[in-house]
Amino acid sequence: MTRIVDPDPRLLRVALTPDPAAWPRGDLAAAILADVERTPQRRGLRVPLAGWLATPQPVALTRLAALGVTLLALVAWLYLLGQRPPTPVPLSNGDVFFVRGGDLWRVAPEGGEPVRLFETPDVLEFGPIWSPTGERAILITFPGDAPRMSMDVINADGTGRRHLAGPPEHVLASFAGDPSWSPDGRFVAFVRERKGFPRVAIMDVDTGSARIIDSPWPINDPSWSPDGRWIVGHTPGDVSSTVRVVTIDAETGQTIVVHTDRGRIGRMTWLPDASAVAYAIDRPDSNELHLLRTDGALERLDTGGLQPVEALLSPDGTRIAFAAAVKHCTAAPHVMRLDGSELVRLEGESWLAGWSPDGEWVIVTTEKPFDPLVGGLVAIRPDGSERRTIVPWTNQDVALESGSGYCNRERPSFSGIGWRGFRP
Amino acid sequence: MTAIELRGIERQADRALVERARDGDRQAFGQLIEPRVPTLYRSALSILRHEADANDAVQQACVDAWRELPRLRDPDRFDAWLGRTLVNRCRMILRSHRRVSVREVSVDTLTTEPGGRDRATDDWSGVDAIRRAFGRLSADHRIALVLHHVEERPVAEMAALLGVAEGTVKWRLHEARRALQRALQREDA
Repeated sequence: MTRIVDPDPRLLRVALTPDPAAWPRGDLAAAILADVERTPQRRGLRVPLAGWLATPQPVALTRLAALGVTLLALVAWLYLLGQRPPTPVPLSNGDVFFVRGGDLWRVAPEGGEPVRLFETPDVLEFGPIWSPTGERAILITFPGDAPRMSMDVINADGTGRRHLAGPPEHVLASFAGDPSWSPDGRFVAFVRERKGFPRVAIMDVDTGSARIIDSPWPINDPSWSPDGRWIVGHTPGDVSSTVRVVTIDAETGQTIVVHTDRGRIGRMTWLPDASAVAYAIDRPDSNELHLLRTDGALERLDTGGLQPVEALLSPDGTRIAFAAAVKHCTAAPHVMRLDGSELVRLEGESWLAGWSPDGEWVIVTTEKPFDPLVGGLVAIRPDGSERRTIVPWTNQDVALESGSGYCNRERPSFSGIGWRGFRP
Repeated sequence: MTAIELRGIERQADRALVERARDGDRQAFGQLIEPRVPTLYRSALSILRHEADANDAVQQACVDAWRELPRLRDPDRFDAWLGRTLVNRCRMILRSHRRVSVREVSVDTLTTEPGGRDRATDDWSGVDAIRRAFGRLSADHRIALVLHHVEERPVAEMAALLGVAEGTVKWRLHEARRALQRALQREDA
């Protein structure tokens, strides 16, 4: 076999150039134009004001003076507004939070009108990731004009938003995200990527002090164990790459590779007794559902031939919800006991979003390619006996401005949903 | 009419379309985007190595471009600006892979030699190793390698597209090559 360590540019070009005949799937141009039809342009004041001032000089000066006075009044009004305490967003226990159109929304679990918590047109938000005590949450933020991901923290009532961590200012393209809370809600483990090498960092949320875990491997998706002792993560890669599952001792920062495999690992969730993590592994030939013990012992869960792509343990650890690939770009959420019994298909083409804190409901999101107004956020009993729509996507407030993409894997509702835990 | 004159006319026509689209003319935007979709798609496919992701990136980048078009001051910079929007979308999609995993058929169309060659031969094992190693790279490293080695863009053009200094581009290329070497060594191990 040819060993290549430093490929010459010609070979690199051959390896990375797509077939000149490669063509977008479906009628991509038509899909784009359909989205454009639904999308308003973002316009500033620059052009109208320029026209308004393009008049003979004395008139222009008068108008400029008037504009100055108006701006001064506006600044004074904003200053006075800033002196008033912020109006807290009323919040009840167990509300569902979701991201739609890049903004964060709240809705009662039984449904009703959703409330937009933040309207930030220049920043996309993901999450929220609630602390185990339900007192605060982390939002992932992504400014549309810069390839930088950061994290903000908010209180449970939506107030007190502050920047938590981000890449250094001088680094144009970098990343801080994938947060996981410590069980006591004081610390957060997250990935801080610089120069393409993701490392796990642990930060005290109150003081902002952080330490970087030293590891010879890049580590993604840290997940803190319920006993606070371990943080588990895995190396990045695609479906055909070697992947290592790594545990980090939360006290000492020591890293240990507990399992090596091939494929792409999805989200990892812990059993409540902190004895194992569950995850789906995505491979070119077959997908599997794994239960990996902290000592490295691996158990393959029987999914009856289904191809899991994403899995989440129930809060009590007795069941596992997983999305199984059904056809191109779609999946069907299922629930079963860990021994493979009581397998239930919850819904057709939709995605797994999360469990309710009491384990009584599973939330799924349904969405059709090319048609963003079909489906919604749906809560289903784990045994499939009851189903209710929390938010239909036909709701005008949350209808996506830009529509749904063809095979839209970056679905905001999917990557951003959290059912806030009940206060003790 | 010479080729240079023809290109000048095309540029003028494009400029007029950009100006109309900037003023909210959706039809003009359609005329502007449609011929560019295949090229944008192949750029995205090079970076993401995934057909559905490439589709998503192009679609989202074009919608972003439509939404933000009134902010584009110089219509002649439309293509560079659109390329930048696409690159940012590719970055986001690579980031989102941390959370979303979908079983997909791999991109078998990533071949360039007409007639195809046997993947089992040693020649192809090198190409496959590069592709696997490329899959381990960060978004920025992928983008740098594709813009330079696949699209053969000069450093100055990459700097304009990425909105960074030329020195930064050179450094990123250097880092990307080193990252690829490390990834290839891991593949070999």
